[in-house]
Amino acid sequence: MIELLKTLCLIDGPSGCEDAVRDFVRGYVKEYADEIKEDSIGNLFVLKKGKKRRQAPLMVCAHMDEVGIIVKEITSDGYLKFDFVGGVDRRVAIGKRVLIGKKRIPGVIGLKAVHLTTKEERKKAPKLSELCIDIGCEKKSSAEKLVSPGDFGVFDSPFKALGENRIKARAIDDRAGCAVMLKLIGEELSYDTWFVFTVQEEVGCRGAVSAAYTVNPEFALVLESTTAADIPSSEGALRVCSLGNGAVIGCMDGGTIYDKKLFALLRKIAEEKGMKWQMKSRVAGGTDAKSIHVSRNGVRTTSLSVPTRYIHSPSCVADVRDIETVLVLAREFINCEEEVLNA
Amino acid sequence: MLSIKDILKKLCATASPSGFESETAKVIAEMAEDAGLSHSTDALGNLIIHRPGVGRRVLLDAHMDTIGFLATFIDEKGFVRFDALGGISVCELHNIPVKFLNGTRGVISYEQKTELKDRKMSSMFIDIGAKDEKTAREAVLPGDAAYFDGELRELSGGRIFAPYLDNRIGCAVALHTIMNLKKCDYDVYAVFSVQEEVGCRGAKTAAYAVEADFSIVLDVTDSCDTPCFDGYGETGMGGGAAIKIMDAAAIAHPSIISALVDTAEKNDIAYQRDVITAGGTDTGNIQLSRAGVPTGGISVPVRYIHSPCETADMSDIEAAAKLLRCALETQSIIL
Repeated sequence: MIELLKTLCLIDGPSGCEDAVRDFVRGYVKEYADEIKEDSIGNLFVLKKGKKRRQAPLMVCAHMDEVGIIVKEITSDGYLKFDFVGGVDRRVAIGKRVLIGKKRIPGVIGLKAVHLTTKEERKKAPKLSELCIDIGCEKKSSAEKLVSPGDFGVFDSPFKALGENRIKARAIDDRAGCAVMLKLIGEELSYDTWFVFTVQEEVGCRGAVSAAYTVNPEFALVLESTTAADIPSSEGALRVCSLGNGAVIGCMDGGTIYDKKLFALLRKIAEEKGMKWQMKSRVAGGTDAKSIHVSRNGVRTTSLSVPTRYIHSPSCVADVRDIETVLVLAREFINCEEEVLNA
Repeated sequence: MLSIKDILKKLCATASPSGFESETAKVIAEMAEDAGLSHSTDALGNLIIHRPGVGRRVLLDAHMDTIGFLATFIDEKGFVRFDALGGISVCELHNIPVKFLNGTRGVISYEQKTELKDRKMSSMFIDIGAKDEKTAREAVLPGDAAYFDGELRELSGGRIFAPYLDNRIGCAVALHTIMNLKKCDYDVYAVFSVQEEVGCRGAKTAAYAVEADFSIVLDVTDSCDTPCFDGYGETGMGGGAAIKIMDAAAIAHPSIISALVDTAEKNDIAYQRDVITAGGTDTGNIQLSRAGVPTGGISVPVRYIHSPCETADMSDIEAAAKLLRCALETQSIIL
């Protein structure tokens, strides 16, 4: 699992430019899949046949895209003005390395030295307009040879094992979900299942709109990464969810009130299997479920998420045991007998 | 035969915070069954009642969910932290009684050290009277939903107040109408939709399923007649049925607006023109369903919307119901 996560987290895939992730997934699933197709927005659909076919189809999905940056303008002195793709706290971007475009041009998001700042300036986060990317060019014409406005970029951040069970990487959101799906596609399944690797989740769960329309499922399971705030400055409910405490079962977030019977079913599965589960103690964020559950005449939708600290930053931290737990619960769920899901 | 007020009272005695609408759905379904109407429920929990006809297919929509609260965390002293289901201002939540769906009662209060202007949902808590976390968890678990604990009460002059006139009123208007329609060729579907307060989600799937030729949404609107009302608007209590022109999510279809205005004038029904620029309704999602659905609305002005004391005038509710019934029975809506 760690090796697969490492590979996935190091592939560039900012929203709208998921090609490299999709190519990897396509290559990986080739020997296991019964059908592979792609739609016009870039979602990758993988059908894995099982022993039986469901009357009420089930779709599993995870998003391939990650947060990143987009170049907006090259200044006369060769700096890049940029904006974020997806939700990034500009405070975590300052001083970080980025890789821009297919050629992976390196750059840094710079800010003037601390010596030169006033007390007032240090009290608040600089505006986006005060930030720029330095790619080492002296003038606009030389920068233009390397990058163009409209180029997308990602944070340049290595994958590291932390402590005994934890990993640090960019894009754990949602390559963790992708990794779980790849593992499941490699297994023997009880039922035919559509696995969808979606695009553009970070900019508003857009890929999932067409994915759910195309598959037209009755049930959906979304595999995600979610906001863990189990850090010393947060207490009680504000910790939201915690690393090492198992899979987060979706109850409600900013985009979805998840199906209650499926919530109860996942909780029951977790308890029977002796697996840890938790729910978020704040209603925040959103997942592809937001688009999926209101598709066509409605889809009963649930989610399993990996608690992830510092999510949407270059250095997310997650616990591999939680990812394994998500895999176990997802496996049990998608192999559930038809009447159990319908109950 | 149930009067519209009887229906309203029955609905006000049920609970249906967004995402947890089954209790209200059951009561509506029972009344529909007693009137000999068939019904179904979709994947999200929308209740769809059908009164077959040979004419054009009409979708009447009234959301049956209400704003409410979702327990998210139980602290070590047994206080329940929560988040809002729907749009609720913290200023409505100071020492207010609430009730969980499992019957547990509580009082919403606030962290005293946090100044009034800085209070957010995360500064608030529900005191359910538990002495510690263990006893609290025996009564309430994260994921449980609560709602304002109150019943329908009468004011003088035919006015009423209750926590959830938004949108028990729309439900009562739709249900009373479909139960009592006399001559009507339209193929009428009444959808009692879920999750309007969290983003008009239920209406989206219901509109897809019904695939109507046109739609009328029954909801409440701002009553702009209180002292120093913040904003502009002409709708007021006692002014009659509010015919939707526009809300923040939709512009009503011109043919439906004019048909409703004509119907009101021909039948001597008090009406007012309803323009609100803050706050959307299911109208927005229904009109964009599939290839588009001409959609309008009949609303009832309500004061103090999204508070525990939403206030309305029975004469406006009666006018809204009469307008809807006349529009359907005379088949005045021709597109």
